[in-house]
Amino acid sequence: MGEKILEVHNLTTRFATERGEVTAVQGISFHVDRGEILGLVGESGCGKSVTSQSILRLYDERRDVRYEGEIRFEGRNLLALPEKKMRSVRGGEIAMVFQDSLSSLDPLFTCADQIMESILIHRKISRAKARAEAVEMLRLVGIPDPEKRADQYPHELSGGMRQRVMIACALSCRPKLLIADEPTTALDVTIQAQIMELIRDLNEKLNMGVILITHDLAVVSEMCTRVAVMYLGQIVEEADVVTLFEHPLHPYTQGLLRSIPTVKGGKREELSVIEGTVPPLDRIPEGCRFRPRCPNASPLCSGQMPGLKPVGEGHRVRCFLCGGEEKEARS
Amino acid sequence: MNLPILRAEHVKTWFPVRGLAGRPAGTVRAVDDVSLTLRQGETYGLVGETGCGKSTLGRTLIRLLEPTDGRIFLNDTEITSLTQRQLRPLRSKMQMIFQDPYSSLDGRMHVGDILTETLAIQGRASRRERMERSLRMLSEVGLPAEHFYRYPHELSGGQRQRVGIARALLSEPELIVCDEPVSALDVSVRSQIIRLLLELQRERSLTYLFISHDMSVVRYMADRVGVMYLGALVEEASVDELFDHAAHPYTRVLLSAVPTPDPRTRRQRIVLEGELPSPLSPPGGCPFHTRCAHATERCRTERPELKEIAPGHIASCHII
Repeated sequence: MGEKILEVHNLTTRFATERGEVTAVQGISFHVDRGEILGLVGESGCGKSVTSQSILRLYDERRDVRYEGEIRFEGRNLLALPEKKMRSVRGGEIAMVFQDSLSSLDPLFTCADQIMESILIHRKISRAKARAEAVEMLRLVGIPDPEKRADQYPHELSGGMRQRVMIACALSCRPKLLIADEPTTALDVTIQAQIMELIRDLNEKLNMGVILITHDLAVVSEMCTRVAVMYLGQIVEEADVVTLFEHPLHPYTQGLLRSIPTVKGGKREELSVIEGTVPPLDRIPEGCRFRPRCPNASPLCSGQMPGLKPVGEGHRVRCFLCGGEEKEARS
Repeated sequence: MNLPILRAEHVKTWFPVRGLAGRPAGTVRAVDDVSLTLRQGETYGLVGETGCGKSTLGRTLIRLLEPTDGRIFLNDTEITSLTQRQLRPLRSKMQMIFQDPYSSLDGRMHVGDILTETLAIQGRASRRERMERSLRMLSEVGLPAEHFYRYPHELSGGQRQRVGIARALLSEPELIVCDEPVSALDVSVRSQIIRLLLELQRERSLTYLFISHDMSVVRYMADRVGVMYLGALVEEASVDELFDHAAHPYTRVLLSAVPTPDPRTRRQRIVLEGELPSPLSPPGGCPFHTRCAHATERCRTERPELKEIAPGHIASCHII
C-alpha cells in the first residue's frame, strides 16, 4: 500500500437548477496513492466528471454549487481552503486534462504562451526561462520539432498534437496529481495509444498520481491499477483492476463488462444488454439506484439504499445481493 | 457466395480546396481509386483513422456525394451518372444511418413527422397508412408508441439513434450505410443498438456498409473488412482472416493500438510514428511509407497495387 496523496470522504455535490436542487454526486469516498493510476468509470451522467471538477472546485460557488464532505490533499481539506489558496493548488499541485482540447486551448495564443502562463502564475521565474521550460515540456510529451511548434497556434495542430499540448500545460508545474477526463475520447485508436503510453510513462517517471476518467473499460484494463465504477452519482464497486475484470460482483459492473463486444474462436459471443437507460438526476429511483435496470432486483432492493461494503481486500460493493450487506439488512 | 448488391470500380472523390480570395489551392483526394463489392446480406466493415476517406467513400457509394471518376453499380444498374430525378426511385433502396442522431434529426419536427415524411416523399401511401407504418416501425426498433409525438431533444442518445434507424428502414432499403452509428453512445446503450442492428439484418436480409473506427465493434459486426489509409483501400479480407492474419503493416499497427479488456495481457504495442500526412499533398509511392517501419527505397517511389495474398484476402504492400 502506497502513501495516500488524495483522500475523498463522503463528497456530495449539489447543483441549484431551475427545477430545484439536484444531487450529482452522492457521498462518495475514495483515495489515490502516490504514483498510481485510479480509473473512474461509468456512463454519461454518472457523476465522474462532476467528481473530478469538484476536487478542483471548478464550479461557481457563489451561485451554482454546494459541496459537502472532505477532500484531503496532502493533509489539507480542499473544500475548506480559501479561494486564493485554492488557486495555487489548481494547475500547480493538481492539474487537469480535459476531453476537448480545441475548446480548452485559447485560439489566440501560441502553444508556448499557454504553457508559460501556468508556469509564470505558479513559479517565480523569468519569461525567457519559462519559455525554455515550455519547449522542454513539448519535447517531453513527444512533440517533434518543439522549437517550431512552440510558436504555432492550436488550429495549426492536429487533435493528437493538441492533446499533447494540453498535457504539457498540465504537467508544466510538475503536479503531484493529474486528473485526465476522457483524454482520448475524440481521438483515433493509434493516437489514443500514443497518449495513453505518454500518460503511463510520465506517471512512472514523475511518480505522479493519476485519476483517469473514462467510459472505455478496455482503456481502464490497460492503464489502471485500481478502478471505481460509478452509477448515478455513487460508487457502486471498487477493486484492483484484475479483481474487477475477473470477479466483478455488482450487476452493473457485470453488465458493463458483458456489453463489450467480444469474438472468441471466430464466433460472436452473445452480447448482453443492460436494459433501459440511466435515469435523469431529478428522477433517481428509491432504494438501490440501479434497481430498475437490475436483472437480480428483489423486494429488498426497493426498501433502502445499500451501503458500499467491503467484500475482500480493497474490494467494495454497493449491493444487497452480493456481499456483506445482505445478512446485515435481513437481520 | 452471395450476389453482389453494390459494386464500385476505381471510384475517386476529389474536392477542390480554395485558399485566400477563393483562389484554387489544390485538391484533396479524399477517395483515390477504390474498388470494392458489397454482397447481399453481408456486413462490410470499413475502418481507418479520421480523414482516411471512409465516410466520403460511404457517401459516394450511395451518391450522396458525386464521384469525380469511376463507376458504381447497384444491382447491375449503373448509378454513376444518373440524374437526381432518375436516382429518386433507387434512393429508397440505399439508406444511411448517421453518427450523431442529434444533428441528423430535425429538431423542429416530432418523431412522427420525421418518420412519415420519408413515406410522403416516396408518395406511395395514404396519410393513414403512413402513420400506421411509422408506428409499426417505432415498435420494431424498440420504441413505445408514445414517442411518436416526442421531439428529438426529449429523447436520449440511444432513443434518437433508434429513430434514425427507423427512418432508414421505412423505405425498405436493401443497403444501409452505417456511418459510426454507435460511436457517440454509452457502453450499455451501444450494445443495445448493436443487437438491434444485427436483429434487423437477420429479419430483413439487409446489407450493411459499417463505417467505424472502433475495431472491437467492427470485429463483432462485420463479415468482411476493408482498411483505408489516405483515401485508398490498403487491405481487405474476411473478418477473421484480417484480425488473425493482418498482412499490411498499417493494419497491424491499427490492430495493435486497440486496447483489450483483459488486465493480465497488457501487450506491447507497435506505436505509430508521426501523424497522418495531409491529403492535400499525399506522399508519393506507397502512401504509408512515411510512417512504415519496413519501408524500402521501392516503397518511396512506386505505388503498390492490391494483390491477392490468400483467397479473398487482398493487400497493397511491396514487402508482403
